[in-house]
Amino acid sequence: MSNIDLSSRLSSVSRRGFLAGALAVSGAAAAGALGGRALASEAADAKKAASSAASSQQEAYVDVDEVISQSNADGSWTFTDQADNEVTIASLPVKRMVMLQHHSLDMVCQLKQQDRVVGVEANWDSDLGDYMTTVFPGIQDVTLGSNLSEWNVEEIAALDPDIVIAASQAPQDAVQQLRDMGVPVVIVSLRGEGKQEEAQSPRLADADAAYTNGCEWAIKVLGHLTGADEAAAAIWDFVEASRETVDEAVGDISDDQRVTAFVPMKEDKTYGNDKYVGCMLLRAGGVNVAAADIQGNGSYTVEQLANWDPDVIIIQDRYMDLYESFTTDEKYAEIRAVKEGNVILAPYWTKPWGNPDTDSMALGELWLAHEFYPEKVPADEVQQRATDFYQQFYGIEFTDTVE
Amino acid sequence: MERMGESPDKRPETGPDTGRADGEAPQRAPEGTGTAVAAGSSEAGTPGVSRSAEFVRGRRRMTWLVPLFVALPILAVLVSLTIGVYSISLPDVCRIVWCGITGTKFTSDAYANPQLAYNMVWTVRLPRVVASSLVGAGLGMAGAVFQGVFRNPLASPYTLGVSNGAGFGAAIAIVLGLSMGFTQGSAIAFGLASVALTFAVASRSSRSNVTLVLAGMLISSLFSSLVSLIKFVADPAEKLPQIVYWLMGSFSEVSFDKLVTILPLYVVSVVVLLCYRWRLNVLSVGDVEARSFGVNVTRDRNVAIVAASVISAVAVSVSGIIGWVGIVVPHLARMITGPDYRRLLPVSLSLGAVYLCVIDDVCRALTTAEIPIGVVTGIIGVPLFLFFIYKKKVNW
Amino acid sequence: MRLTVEDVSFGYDASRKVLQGMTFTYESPDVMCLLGSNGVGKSTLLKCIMGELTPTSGTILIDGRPVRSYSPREMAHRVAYIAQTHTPSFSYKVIDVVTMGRTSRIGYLANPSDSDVQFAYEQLEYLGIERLAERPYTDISGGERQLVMIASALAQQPEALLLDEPTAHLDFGNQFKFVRLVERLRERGMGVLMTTHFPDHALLLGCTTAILTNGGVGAQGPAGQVVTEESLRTIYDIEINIRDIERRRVCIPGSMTDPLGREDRSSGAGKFETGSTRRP
Repeated sequence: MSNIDLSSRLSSVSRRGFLAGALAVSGAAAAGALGGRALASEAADAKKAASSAASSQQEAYVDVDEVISQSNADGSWTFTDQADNEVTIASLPVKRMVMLQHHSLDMVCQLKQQDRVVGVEANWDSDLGDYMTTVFPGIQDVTLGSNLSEWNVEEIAALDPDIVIAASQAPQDAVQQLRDMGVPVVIVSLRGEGKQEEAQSPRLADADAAYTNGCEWAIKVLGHLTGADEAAAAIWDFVEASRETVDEAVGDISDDQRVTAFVPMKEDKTYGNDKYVGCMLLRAGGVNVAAADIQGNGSYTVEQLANWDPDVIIIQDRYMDLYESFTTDEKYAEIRAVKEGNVILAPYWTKPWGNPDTDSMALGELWLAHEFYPEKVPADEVQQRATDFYQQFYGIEFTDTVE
Repeated sequence: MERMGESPDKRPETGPDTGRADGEAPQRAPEGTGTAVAAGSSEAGTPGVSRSAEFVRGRRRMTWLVPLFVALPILAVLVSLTIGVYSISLPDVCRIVWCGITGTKFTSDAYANPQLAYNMVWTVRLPRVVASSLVGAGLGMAGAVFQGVFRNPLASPYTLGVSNGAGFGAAIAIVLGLSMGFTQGSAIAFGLASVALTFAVASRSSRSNVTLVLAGMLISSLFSSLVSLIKFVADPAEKLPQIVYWLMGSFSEVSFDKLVTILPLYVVSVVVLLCYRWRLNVLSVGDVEARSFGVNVTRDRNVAIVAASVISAVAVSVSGIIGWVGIVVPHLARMITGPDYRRLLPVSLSLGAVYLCVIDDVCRALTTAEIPIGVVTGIIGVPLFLFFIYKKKVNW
Repeated sequence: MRLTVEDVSFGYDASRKVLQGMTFTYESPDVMCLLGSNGVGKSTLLKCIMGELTPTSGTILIDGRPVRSYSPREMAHRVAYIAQTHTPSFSYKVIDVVTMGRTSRIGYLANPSDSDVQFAYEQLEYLGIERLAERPYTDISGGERQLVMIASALAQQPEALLLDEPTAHLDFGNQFKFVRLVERLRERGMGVLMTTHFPDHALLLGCTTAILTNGGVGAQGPAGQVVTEESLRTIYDIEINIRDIERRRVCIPGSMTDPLGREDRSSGAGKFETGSTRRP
């Protein structure tokens, strides 16, 4: 909690207020901060009642700085992962890591600790992008058959890992089998608020706080595991600095001024309420139109999209087919955002995803704010931050150009 | 038997020899047919008009069937076009359809962007509604044909293995990452291949009727196993959900392009079967009887089976596997028309279109996260079928 | 129509012959009865004539042409065949079933016209069952259904009817009525070739009769000459007495004094031996 300063807490509450207002049928969306807060707490109460896993916020958000400062008498380290499992690592730093969670893999590369990685999930290419081959030469040599949700336990065990980093949709039997063999498995969900019933469709009391806390926890725990605490702290400082810039530029956008945005995924699905991209949009002065009707990841129809009538449609560049169909398929042609040419391709380094990566927060939110309000967040500022981030953390040159 | 829609005043007496197909008039039996029966019979009718002519005139004609069963699918399509989250009223839908047909521009003050409403009807809803109607009509008709030629109330368009064959074709194409068009083509090809295989297996036996059904079951389960194998090896993150979704059946991926590719095969097969409707009557009475009546049983049955299989295969290629329509619809139709294929086939077409169109509306309207239609037809179809059995409406 | 059956044999497999060396001729509009014990291959013979089965040897000609060379439609114009049993499937109306007899008389893809229906109805009238016209033919009695099938056959306008044991499923009264129907058909000029288990019927009709045995046709000729006590004894393997009573000639199975074999068990009475036990 201490890492989240008061102003950001407050603004996140008012952002929640917007979501709650959109959820409620009453037209109170544009109500003031007070009304928004009342709605937010109501919505939060309802969510808590609905979600068996959700405990109070005070318990849900752990102070990660405190977590990494502790250690056992024998030099081992015990902590609780993001699915409420207690994990003990015999000695730090770990030497052999198996990364079955792509955000974490990315973060380990930002920490420049990829040498410790002895196995990565099968679909890193489509989950993260081509840039990984530059960031992590030889990644093909350590690519496994296992992916986020399907594991080959023998393949993993054969690597004799010190630790396995897993996604929240990891197969539970396989996780248990590895733990029984004495291999520590850490679930990284990138959210606070503990284990969720549906891994991809969480119900969160405060989405913005949960993802902020979850992402900070992930980078700092990974930093601690790999002996790169300083780098992790530096990355997080970078995130907070970026967020401050964004907040200064677009933090005072009133709810009725927000840019309405729609972020589709493949197979006619989209990110709904309580997904990180919604928080990202709110921070950048936009709002996710699907959050009003869809909880978590869900299917949408063209008709819904027509009703939502978003100002912009943001498509991740890992879904080029989708961009193709949105810009050419006749059925989308008369949707206002398409008609006015506001289908935006989000470049690989912005990561407007369901769960946050550090660069989603450090660069993505900034980029979105620039896209929505170019006069408030100029392109060269985004270019500079991205160049710095790539230089400082990945240690490679940033080759994209922000327009 | 109530005589609905009989119109005695409108039918002029036609001579027995008019309108014959091949000019072969039925000759009166040499000895005078009526005389042996009842001497007093002629007194009942008008002088000069035989009782048989009177009988023909008085036969119940279901003239009301034609307009009703033409109107029903049109109505179903129009109403279906109003269903959707984006609200467009029925009058507006009619206007939009009219504008589309006449090529005029749709204008209205009721919409921020009338062109969006137009697009919603023409590019989003219409392909889907038309597809569900076509598939429903096709499966209904094919089911009626299969039940007739196999004289089996449980025969369906999938009896000869079309569905699993097509499922295999689609699954292979999906795993190989082929385009939508290729997936559709592969589904049709393998659907028909499985029927061909079924024929090949059954041709070893002289009692082809029973063996065909049996061979169909075998080939069907062979392809079903192959589909399972493909599902097993398919990439669980990318391909498997696609395969599963395809197998469950859905109209959400449908487009006019998809429909246009199947249309020629579909239309030809439907026309062939409609032309065959009297022949199907004869075939459905029995092989021996049909042969005695002068029907080339093997050839004509094969023509009917192939045509019905083609319809089934192209239907499956559009929508994935949608079960029960091909069983329930013919029974529904038979309740209305009786077994006579001259009426049963057109009514099956019409009812099938309405039935699947309405079920797809339910799928679209109930939730935004769509329920696969194949699941719904099963859930609705099975109780409906049990109801027929309970009411003894599955009559033979 | 002239039917020539020449040395026809048939077997479902090579070792077991169901039919052996059948030779006879039939010419419409004659009435002809084929007599023979169970399993001698009467039904098989009719199926061979209809082209449903292909004889393993021998030739079957209709009007000098092999039956297999006839198209079903051409065949239907010559012979109508009514099988021993018919299992109805769909509940067609009687008039529709009879109209189906018109199929070979209308265009390939045509539907029957009103005059076809009228003609069909006249066949029902001829058989006195026009009251059944609108009834589902699944709901009528077996005897009525037999008549319906005959009406269909007549609607077909063939030169001869080929009937496989037409009286097998009829009651005592209907059996006799049927014989009278055959006589009416003959008067109408319709040929009838039928298999039967009742030599009385052959005698009653006084028609040409052929006696089929396992080795071929035993005899062919007018019933009065062919149906004798000796020939029947050979066919049925029991004692048969033929008596003239007033103007009727009847066959009486069994001894005139001890029909149930109470006094003479050695005669084999009471033991069944049928051809079908020899069948696969």
